[in-house]
Amino acid sequence: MAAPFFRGDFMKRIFIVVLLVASSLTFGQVYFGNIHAHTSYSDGLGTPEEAFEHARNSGVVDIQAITDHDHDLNYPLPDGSWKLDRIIEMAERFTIEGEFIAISGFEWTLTSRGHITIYDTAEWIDRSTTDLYDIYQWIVDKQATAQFCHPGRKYGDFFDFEYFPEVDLYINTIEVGNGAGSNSNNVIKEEYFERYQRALSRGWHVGASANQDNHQKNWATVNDARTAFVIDELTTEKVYEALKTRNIYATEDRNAFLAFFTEGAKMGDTLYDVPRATLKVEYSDPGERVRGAAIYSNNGIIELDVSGDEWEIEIDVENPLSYNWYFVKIDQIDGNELVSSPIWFQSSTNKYLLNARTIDPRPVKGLPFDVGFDLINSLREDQVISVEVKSGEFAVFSKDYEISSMNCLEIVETFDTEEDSLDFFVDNELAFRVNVDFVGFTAHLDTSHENYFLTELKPLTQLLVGLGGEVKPVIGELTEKTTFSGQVLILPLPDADTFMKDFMEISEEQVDFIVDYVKNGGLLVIVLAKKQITHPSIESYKLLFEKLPWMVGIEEGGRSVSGTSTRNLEMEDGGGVVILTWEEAIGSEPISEGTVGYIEMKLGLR
Amino acid sequence: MKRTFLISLLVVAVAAIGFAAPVKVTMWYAQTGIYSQTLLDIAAEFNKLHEGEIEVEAVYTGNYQDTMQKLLAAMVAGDVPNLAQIEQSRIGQFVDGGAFQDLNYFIDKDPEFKATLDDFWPRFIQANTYEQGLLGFPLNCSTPLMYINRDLFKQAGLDPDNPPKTWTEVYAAAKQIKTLGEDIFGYRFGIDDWLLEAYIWQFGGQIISEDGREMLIYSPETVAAWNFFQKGVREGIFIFGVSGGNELDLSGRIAMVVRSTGSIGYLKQNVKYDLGATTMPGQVKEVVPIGGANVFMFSARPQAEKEAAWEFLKFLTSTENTKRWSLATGYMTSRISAFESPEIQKIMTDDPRYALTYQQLKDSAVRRPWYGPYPEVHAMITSAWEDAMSNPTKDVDAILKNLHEEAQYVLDDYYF
Repeated sequence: MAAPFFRGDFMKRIFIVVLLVASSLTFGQVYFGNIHAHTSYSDGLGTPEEAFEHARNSGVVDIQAITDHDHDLNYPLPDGSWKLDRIIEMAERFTIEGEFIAISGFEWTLTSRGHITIYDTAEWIDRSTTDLYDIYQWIVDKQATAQFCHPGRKYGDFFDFEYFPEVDLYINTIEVGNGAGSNSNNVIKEEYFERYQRALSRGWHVGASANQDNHQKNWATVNDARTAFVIDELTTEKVYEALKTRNIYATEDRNAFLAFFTEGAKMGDTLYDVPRATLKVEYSDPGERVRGAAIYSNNGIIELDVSGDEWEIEIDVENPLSYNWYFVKIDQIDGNELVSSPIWFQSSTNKYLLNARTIDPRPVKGLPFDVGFDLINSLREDQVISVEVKSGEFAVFSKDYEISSMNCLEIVETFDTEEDSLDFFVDNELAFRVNVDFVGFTAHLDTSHENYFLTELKPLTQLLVGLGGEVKPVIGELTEKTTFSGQVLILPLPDADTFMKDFMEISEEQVDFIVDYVKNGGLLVIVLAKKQITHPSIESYKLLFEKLPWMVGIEEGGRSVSGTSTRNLEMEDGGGVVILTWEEAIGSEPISEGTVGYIEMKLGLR
Repeated sequence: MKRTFLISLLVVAVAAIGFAAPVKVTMWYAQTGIYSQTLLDIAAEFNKLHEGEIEVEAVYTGNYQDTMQKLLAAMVAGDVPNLAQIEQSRIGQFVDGGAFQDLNYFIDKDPEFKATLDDFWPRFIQANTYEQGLLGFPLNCSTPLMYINRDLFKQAGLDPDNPPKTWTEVYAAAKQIKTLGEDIFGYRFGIDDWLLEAYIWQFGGQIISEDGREMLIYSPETVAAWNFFQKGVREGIFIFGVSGGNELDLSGRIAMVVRSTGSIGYLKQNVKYDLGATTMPGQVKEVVPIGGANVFMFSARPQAEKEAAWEFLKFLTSTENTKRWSLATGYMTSRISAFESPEIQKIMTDDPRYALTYQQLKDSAVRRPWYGPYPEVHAMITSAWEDAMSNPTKDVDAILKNLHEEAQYVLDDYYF
């Protein structure tokens, strides 16, 4: 295309005309908005009146929303009227169709779950009486238009974007950019960007916005963060429609133009049963060259070979899975970023399998392991979903699941396979791929008995890692459950110098399950004391030695052992015990080849 | 002759009362939101009652630190307000400089008021008593409580109705809670200065000598206290952070946290777990600091203004208004009669967590350090604490030894 682009309000209107003439471009004009902002009706400054007036007079945005916090709306204004009623009234008063659209809304603010801006409702609901599922239900009941705000660790990520097909119909945007009221244009933060992709991976159909989240009298003007609306005319109706259809993009540049489309769809849309497609990206912002651009998708990242301040590019893609999404990210030379809403390519079966992963990030090869995945039924009728997991042609797992209408089930199944490349099929369509990151064995290193020696024991952990294992510290209490999930338990004797001697002792219950663990095949590695233990807690370790089926006892306050020439206990049909001196474990003295060989033998590595 | 003179004086005095503008009283304060609103409401009501006689103007002067700075500047410029809300640990330079009016002067002339003096919580009066006399009245006071995520306690097999009473017990409970998950922590803490003082005291340590001239912070007791918290962080069962604490407290991933009693209302509204509360743990000692601020009267103002300011001070701290303040803000009442009022009692019947702070006030609350150079010293303590807790393998003994020496220079310099 040869779409010229001009700056400023006046020029923009000319742009419409040019666009209409240059009919090669079908996706409309761009209007810029800021749809998350506060006033003194909650924790900001000024009134909604001032806010809309300021934004409208600024000439730098076409759309402004006021979204004060839910719990502050509970308190009426001095004249007795309700704040939300006044915001709605002001939005109507300040809207001039074709010139400026003022939007009313509120922000549901339950930190730990996440914040959600909800637009164009006559009522509000307060966090003190609602949790996340309640507000989801409320949004569905009201058929509201809603947005996930600044997703992340600080304010919450909606239970890791737990997915609900029905709610997905109403929460249609997510902030990849939030300015937190600061005057920096860097509002698209790594964390928000990462959570955007996480939301998409869980199944949410959300488009990308960037807003200022003003708390001072600088609505629209504090920085260049904008939510760009790709609509052909500036009307209230079209603005809400764009929020519903996700025909928006997030930009840190106040007037950069971005189009992202394919045959039959523009950004925000979903296409069904399209195995391959040509994605088209158009960019224009005179004077603002790009440093890089890429298409992000659930199947990876495609770097785009583009340069300059005005360009277009076409990329052919295959859609390998029954659920695929793509969006564009552009980095301008001045550091500003643009992020588009996605285009989805999905199977028309409306049965999807997402979020497949091993529950333990590194399961032990040769042992059964848990695999989790989400099954989604986006149809308004109950369905049976047949899941089959294969590695190449080899079938690993198969099961049918009945799922009610518009529902998502989080499934966990136990797999018993050594295959590391797992393909998940739903009704014979490839739905998901997982590469399993197996580990040879898991060792737990106790730190819960005044024996926090992670640094000192690095040589020992490196030895085990070298043998293909993973070493996990036991933080808190040593429990039977932890012990039994690993093949090796490392138990260093306590630090004689600790100032919390009450915590040195190993409980009888722990002694018993450690002995059971060894009898049932576990390998116990005891690291003798760093310094002689005179504290009575040494008795509890003596008890452990007594209960192990051999004739070895603790000497010198845990510095050495007696009774045998070999320090490696071998048990028939069971595990074993290895005793290392402190010096061996910290690498100041070598561990004998015999002992290393014994460990390898016990772990089945020899 | 004499007689005539007296009469004419009376005439002048009457004329003055009749025609002069009302006496202006200025009060500087340091809080926003509901706190500010409540104070302004009380001032407006007072002005109405004293129309034509006294006019109180309450002025927001920034947070505690800003207000202190502005007051110090005003002292230099000789233009102090009549009254000011000053946070406890920031009053030293004013006390040392003799800036405050001894309120006993007015109390002694006011037998009616004097009769109600023992209606104030005795520890609040104690906390405002200095060598120069009774210098302040309590306004917004609180003590720290330990808040508990009862759900996590239950999941970890602990009894939330029998929460830890000592730091050792906190550690033991935290270890058990940690087994619930990598992302879950037994105890959360940050750099709140009043809690740093509490930890040191509770382990038997001291910060500064009684006369404020000698650092006492480097002691086996304080080393033990700091080692304790550092150990919890190092082992991953406590979590320390300079910021983001509030979000963590709401997240449901923290089993225990110590915060102001004034947080009850906020936490109740925002958390979605079963929120418990208990008194702050002790260790060697059971002691908690009184947090918040008191109101002080500056002596360097004309007598008539001081008389008027006294009237407002009485009004502000009356049973009715301290009750009103407490109901609106969640801070403690200053007076026992307000505490005993049906409205306050109802709060505690409805939710016994609100009573804990009064229990602590009666049992173990003490004044925070206040000496002149303390703001500077406590900034040094905070930064040393941050260093030790964010680098949990650093040697606490060395950090404290160094802090002690450096802080002593500051004291020596101030009292030179």
